[in-house]
Amino acid sequence: MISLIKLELKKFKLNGYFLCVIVSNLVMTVLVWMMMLQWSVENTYIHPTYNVAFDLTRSMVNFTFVIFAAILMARIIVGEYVNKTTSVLFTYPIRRQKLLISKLALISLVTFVIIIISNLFINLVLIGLNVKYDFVKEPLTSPIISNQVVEILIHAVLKTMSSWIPLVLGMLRKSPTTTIVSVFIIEFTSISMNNGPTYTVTPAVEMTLAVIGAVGAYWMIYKAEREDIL
Amino acid sequence: MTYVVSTSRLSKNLSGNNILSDVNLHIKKGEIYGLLGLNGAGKTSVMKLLTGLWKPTEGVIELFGERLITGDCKSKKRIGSLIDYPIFYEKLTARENLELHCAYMGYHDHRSIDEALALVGLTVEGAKTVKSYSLGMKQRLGLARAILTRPELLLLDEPINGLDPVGLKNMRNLISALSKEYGMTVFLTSHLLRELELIANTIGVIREGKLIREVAMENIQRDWTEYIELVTKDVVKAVSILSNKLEMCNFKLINESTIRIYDLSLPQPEKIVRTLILNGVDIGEIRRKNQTLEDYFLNLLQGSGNT
Repeated sequence: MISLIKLELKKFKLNGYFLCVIVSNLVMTVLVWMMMLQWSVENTYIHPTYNVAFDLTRSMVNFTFVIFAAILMARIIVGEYVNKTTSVLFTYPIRRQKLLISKLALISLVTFVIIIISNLFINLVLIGLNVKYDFVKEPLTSPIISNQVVEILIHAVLKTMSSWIPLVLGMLRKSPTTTIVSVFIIEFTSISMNNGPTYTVTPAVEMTLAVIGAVGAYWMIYKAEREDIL
Repeated sequence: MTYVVSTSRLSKNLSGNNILSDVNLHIKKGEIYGLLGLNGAGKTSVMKLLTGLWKPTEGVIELFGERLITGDCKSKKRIGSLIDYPIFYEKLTARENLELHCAYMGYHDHRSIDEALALVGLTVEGAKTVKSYSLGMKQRLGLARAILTRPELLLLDEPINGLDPVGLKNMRNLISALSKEYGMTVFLTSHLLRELELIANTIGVIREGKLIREVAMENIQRDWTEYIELVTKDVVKAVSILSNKLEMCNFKLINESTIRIYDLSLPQPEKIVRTLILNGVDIGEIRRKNQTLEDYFLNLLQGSGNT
């Protein structure tokens, strides 16, 4: 499996992807910081606490990297069908299931890790900035931190799983465009059902999406083994 | 007789269309088997079924004596294939593509990459990305990939498409050499009879999804190729002498001055000449000819032959 993942990395160079990750992390840091500053100055109904800051970061990071995941899936999985390279790939003495699972594992692992690292990075920068700008007035206690760590982990898992839905939809029609369009539709719909100003998605919605994603991915991989490669 | 490839009642139905029906294919070890058919007859479909890219609607495929089952990959290690349009990871170089192929096939002798590139004459271009390749070059690179791991069975779908005359000749030589030196079994398709005739040991004819004939070239050459062509101004008289005095019946009037005699077993050509001249028939020309198999196969392909 690991050697298959390495081969995928050889085929699809991800340098550009990682560059985009860095840039979007910087952009998101600035956005969250600006919003927090705004809220602390304007005296709106939102009280700028650490939890608000971290929630805001998390929902932004999740939103961004689920879309990134869809782009990777459109390229690495659906793209192989569209470019017809599957007609070579599937003549190798490796089961289609295994090939697809290793592709999915690569993308999901990258997405999961990037979501966590980005959360950590942005939150640490915010904590650092707060020392100077003091937009959060409360002290940073260990319950806040441990609570956030748990939240970040759980949501990273759920988000990674729900990122499989656009893939399944794209695979139905063998169309990368479907994958990209559907990820935007799903993300904007779930944000519209949000929990207040930090745009965190309701847990029920997030969990449902994750389950749909998991079932869809299983069905897609099962089906791929029996499919004709046109 | 053990076959490297054999199918029985192999059928494929795609969205209501019968693409293949009841194909019984038999490919012996070490032979070069040519599948001949017009465009759309189902040649590529057979290839896709053999490589497992398509699943049969009905029927059984046996490769190396074992039944091919969905998800079973053992036999794939022993097969090299070039099917349809040659497809590569276009952003990678030719060499990188071949390295990937080796890695996926679990073949770790990397010297074979240089050898394969040299065999198809792409040593210099190996470092270029495949994107910049012409169709002919891709076709050759596809062949390099197919033979890279020294497979026991080589499946080539229209390998001569897009090749220039020199490339064509090289391809022919290469296929024969692979068959002779490595004992590879080669299964190739074409719509060009001449090309198959030059290299194949056995030819299968496929028409509208049905395999209508499998013939060994040796037999067919013995049965069909020899005849005597006679050119004379007095055809009517010649015909009557042939049938009455020489008691021949297997001959054919080609045009008003030419007769072809297929019945070669009975009288010797000298006897035919002597009898005709003694009976006052002037002979313009007489010669023994090897017919290309065109007529025979054209009949089969177009459906006017007896099937």
